[in-house]
Amino acid sequence: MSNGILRKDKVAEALGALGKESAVYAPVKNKRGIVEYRELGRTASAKDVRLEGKPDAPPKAIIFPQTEVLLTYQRKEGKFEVTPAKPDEREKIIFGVRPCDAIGIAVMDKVFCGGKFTDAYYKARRDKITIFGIACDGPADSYCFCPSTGGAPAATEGSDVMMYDVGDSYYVEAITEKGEKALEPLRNELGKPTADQERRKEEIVKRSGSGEGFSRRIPAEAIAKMDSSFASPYWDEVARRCLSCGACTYYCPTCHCFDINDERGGERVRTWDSCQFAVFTMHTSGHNPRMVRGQKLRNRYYHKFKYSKDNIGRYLCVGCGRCIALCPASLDITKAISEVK
Amino acid sequence: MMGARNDYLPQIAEIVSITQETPGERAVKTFRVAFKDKGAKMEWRAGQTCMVSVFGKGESMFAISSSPTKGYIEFSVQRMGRVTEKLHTMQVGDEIGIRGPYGNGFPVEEWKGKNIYFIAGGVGMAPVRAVMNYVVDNRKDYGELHLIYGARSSLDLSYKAEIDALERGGAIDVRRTIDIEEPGWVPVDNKNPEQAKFDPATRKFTGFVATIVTAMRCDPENALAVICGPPIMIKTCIASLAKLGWKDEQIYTTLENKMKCGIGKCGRCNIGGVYVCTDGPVFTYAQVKKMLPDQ
Repeated sequence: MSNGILRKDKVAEALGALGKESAVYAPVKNKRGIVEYRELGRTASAKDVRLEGKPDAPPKAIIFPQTEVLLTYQRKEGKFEVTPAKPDEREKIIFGVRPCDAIGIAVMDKVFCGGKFTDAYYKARRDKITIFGIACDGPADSYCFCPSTGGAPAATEGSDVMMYDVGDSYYVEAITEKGEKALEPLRNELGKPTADQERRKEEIVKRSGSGEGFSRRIPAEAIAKMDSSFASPYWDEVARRCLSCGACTYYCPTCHCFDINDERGGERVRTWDSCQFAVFTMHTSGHNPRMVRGQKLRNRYYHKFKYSKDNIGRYLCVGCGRCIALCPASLDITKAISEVK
Repeated sequence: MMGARNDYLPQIAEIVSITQETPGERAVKTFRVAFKDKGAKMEWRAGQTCMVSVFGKGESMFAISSSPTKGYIEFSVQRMGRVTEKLHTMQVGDEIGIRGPYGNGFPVEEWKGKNIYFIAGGVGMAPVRAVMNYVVDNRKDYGELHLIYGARSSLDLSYKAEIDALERGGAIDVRRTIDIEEPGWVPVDNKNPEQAKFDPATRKFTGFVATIVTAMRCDPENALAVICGPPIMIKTCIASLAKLGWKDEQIYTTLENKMKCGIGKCGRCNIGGVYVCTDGPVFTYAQVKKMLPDQ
């Protein structure tokens, strides 16, 4: 696989070159100071891109939009006609994705394209998306705990191209065939790495493997203990503070639960939903199998660490820590799982 | 265009007949439907479900209430919420959308040679009707057949003519039961079902379904039971069968939960790690017992 050096002062130019063939999304600081992914040339420009640190929101909405028309239905002379919505088939690059978020995308791929059914809308969009990951060197901030969930600061899983911060430049490396192809427009932008840059990159990879420097963690024993804690009153205790606002699910790179509704004007629309909302599981009869906060929060934690492990072979948590950073009630998933009784 | 099959896309179907099964605010109607596209085909197993679209109102998951042996597709729907209220105002010739079938269905192949007790309450008769008709249409493959069917009143029993005909034809032993006594419906003491004298000639009872199960002394020998109905009925019937020596593996039931996608993605019909839409809706009681107490 090819590699090269991209000088930090040449990033905007490189984004411009990539943008000639693909729509490019990258982390940008918005007016309220929130760093989120924006499409360059549309709602942000290459000079606003901010590659330091972990964006406040994951790139989830690009692979799985918050609202999406699935189909339209029209009544013509008393007869219905159903037309599937055309998926957005543009080639897209998501640039500067942190390893936790890239793994999040790999996990979403398993959810939507694995098992007995493939989600056609997700797949059509996803097939056209290339991920430019960017390695962390240790925790990006105090909320990070990726080594506890099978990740690492410089993990390449989910990325097609990987970038390493080696001082005044990024060491850029193709990880997949898709990434190899995506680097073609950058042939003139990428320099040859020096021995020092090679060494620096290797050091990042080495430190990443050690998993050191993280103040938050979830011990494997605690996750194992969940097997016998389902009926424990502990979950009600933990959830006492929960406001059921759903912020944790909206900002989670892997929370994928959705609703489907018919809207006025003949559109059937899929929207993000949250297992923390009151009517999420409510039957038409009024019966609700997960009615109280303890049941709802417990479902989220068990889905993340137990059910998904059984069903798709991995945790539905990537250790990004956004749910901790953003919870208005200061709920901490690492603490909640670690102290399971 | 899209590479993978689009599982969210419904086929347009026309309502070709409507049968008013039960009256009232919570009425049940059976809708027979036919695909508009003459080339469209659906193969299904009894116990499977479909996502039914009432355009403008949304989708709901229903059991297919007709047996695949009949060659027509029917849904028996209780008037309950937004989608079903609209459905109940629809007429022959109106169009709905259908996608599916979903779920596992009943393992009718494994059941060959067995005696079967079909036990149903209320609109829970819908999936039971599908599998019961399948078994009756393959009568020689199965042993003795029994139906114990309960509802609040005699008016709340669905498929009257059809079940009467099966009974008259001798294909199946039928016992009906209602909650509130009506003339001609023999009361059985819900408090002491074990002491109840069970007259084999009696066909119409007043008493809980679980009471009739106990009073009849359903025999577990080379048998299985299919129980569908309200949760409390399922629970009490299982307790009745357990007392009669039935094993958990011999008891089948169907579960239901709120569903949006039907294909294991939307994340709401799970009971623990089990997805009712794709892993179910048919489970043995042994399987249900293994599930986390998440319902």
